[in-house]
Amino acid sequence: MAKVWIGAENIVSPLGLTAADNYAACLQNHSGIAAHEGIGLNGETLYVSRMKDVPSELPNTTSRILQMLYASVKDALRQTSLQLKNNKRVALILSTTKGDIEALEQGSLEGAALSKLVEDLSKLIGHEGEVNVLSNACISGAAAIILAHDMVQTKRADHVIVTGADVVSRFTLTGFQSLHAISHEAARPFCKTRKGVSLGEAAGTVVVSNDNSIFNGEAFDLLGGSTSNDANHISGPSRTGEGLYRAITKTLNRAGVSTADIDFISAHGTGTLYNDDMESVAFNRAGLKDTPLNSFKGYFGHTLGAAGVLEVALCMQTLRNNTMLKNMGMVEAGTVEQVNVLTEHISAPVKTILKTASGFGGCNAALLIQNNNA
Amino acid sequence: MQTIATIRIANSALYLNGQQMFAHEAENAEVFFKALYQYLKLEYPKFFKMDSLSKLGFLAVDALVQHTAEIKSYADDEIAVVFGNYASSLDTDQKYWNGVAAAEPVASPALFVYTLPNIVQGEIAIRHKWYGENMFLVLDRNNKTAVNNSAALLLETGKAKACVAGWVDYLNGAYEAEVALVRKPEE
Repeated sequence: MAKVWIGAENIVSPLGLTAADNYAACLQNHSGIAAHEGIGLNGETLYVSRMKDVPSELPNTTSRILQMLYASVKDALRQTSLQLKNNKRVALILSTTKGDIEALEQGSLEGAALSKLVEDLSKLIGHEGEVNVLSNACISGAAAIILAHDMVQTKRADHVIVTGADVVSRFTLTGFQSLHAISHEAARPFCKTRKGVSLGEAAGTVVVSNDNSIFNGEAFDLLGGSTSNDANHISGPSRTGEGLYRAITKTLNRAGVSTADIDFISAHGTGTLYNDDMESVAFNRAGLKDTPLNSFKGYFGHTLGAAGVLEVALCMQTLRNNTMLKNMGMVEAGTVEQVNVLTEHISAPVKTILKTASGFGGCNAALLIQNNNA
Repeated sequence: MQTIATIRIANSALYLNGQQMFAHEAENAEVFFKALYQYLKLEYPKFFKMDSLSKLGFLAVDALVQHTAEIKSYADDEIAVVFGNYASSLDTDQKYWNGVAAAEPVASPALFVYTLPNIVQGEIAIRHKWYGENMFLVLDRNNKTAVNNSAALLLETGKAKACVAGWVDYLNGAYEAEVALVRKPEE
């Protein structure tokens, strides 16, 4: 089985157009979340992280999400020597929940097909290998990186470009409103007085490869991961954190990594009462209650299908900079079980990071990245 | 990869390993799904709250479980569920969006929770108490083999001992499900 590397991360979000710029903005305590008037179902003001200026390298008839994906993938590829032409050994995986949902809002079913979005992207970047769309709700991004790992490890592909995106749309905004899951202020994950989710939009990209030499900068070890299901409820998190607990323990056992080896956890942390409580239970059960953790959703909002890729990109920046970012917006700790939520940015050597995600449909994911560069 | 059994639901009929088990000419998919539910002697009231995509996948997997004794021999996290389709959840997406776009906008939470393709995997996990790996792929109709390739990957890496894998697609009343129980060939 091949060794698997991960590098060349990008983030396109309201906070910047590169991973480094996004990380720097977080370090300066910036958040993309702001009040937007009139965007609710009945014209309510809602807090979202929305791009003011979407990258526009492509013709202006191109959908917003494709513009964001293209800018994200191009920046990631610039950080590699990867040749796409005549190379069937490069796969492309898109992680998204709703894709170009704005096409459906305008009445085009074909335009909203997720396979069309990845095929359009593949053509635009001159990619000739296998394409795939992974759509498992809010674990899509993490699950896509896990799939990429397994494809490279088993030699199904030599390199996999994993890119994730979702946009803030009337469709998703009204939907989360209907579930009473939207916070009427910027989301404050893991805070005692948290009030719900803020939605966000972003695209993120990472490159997974069997060859360290394709990366211009440092690449890291991708140790793989696992997914699981709660077998409990389609839209409510399990009170026992069963699925997340299983995903974490499977991931650690498979990688031969112990809880003591983990320096930092990038948790899911949506900001809803039940989700964050569920995570606190699962981390306690897994023996990770003292491990520093954050949710990045106070900076970016919940970017749905992009979240896993975006947050792994931020984890890679954390490895590059040896500074863990605080959990934006937390005033007072207050989950059902105690966990070690970062209230300040902490500079310390970071070698091993656990990334977790949970989503509707009861799905959960966990994966590990590690810096073994001396 | 070894196929233990395959269930196909299409054209108002249910097939096991290519052989027709049940057929019921119905005026629409929902009526046929209800007939199939009765044929399979299911008692699961939650079924009637599901969207059409979830009903389709749910029925296919229930039929598969009824016809493969082997499936009960696996521990609760040894079975993966890997599905693919073309239409994602677009059928329910349209229904949800029609409410929001109406003159008097209505956002239905009961519809919104089904606007993700993998919800059917959640319904199946709850029904059979399966805690294993989940993957939902959205693919072009000529790329169905990607589903089996991904299932094979989970078997090869040892993440799953068996996999319920296949195509579950529903859009505007047109439906097709073909799911199989697969496992590694015996050594």
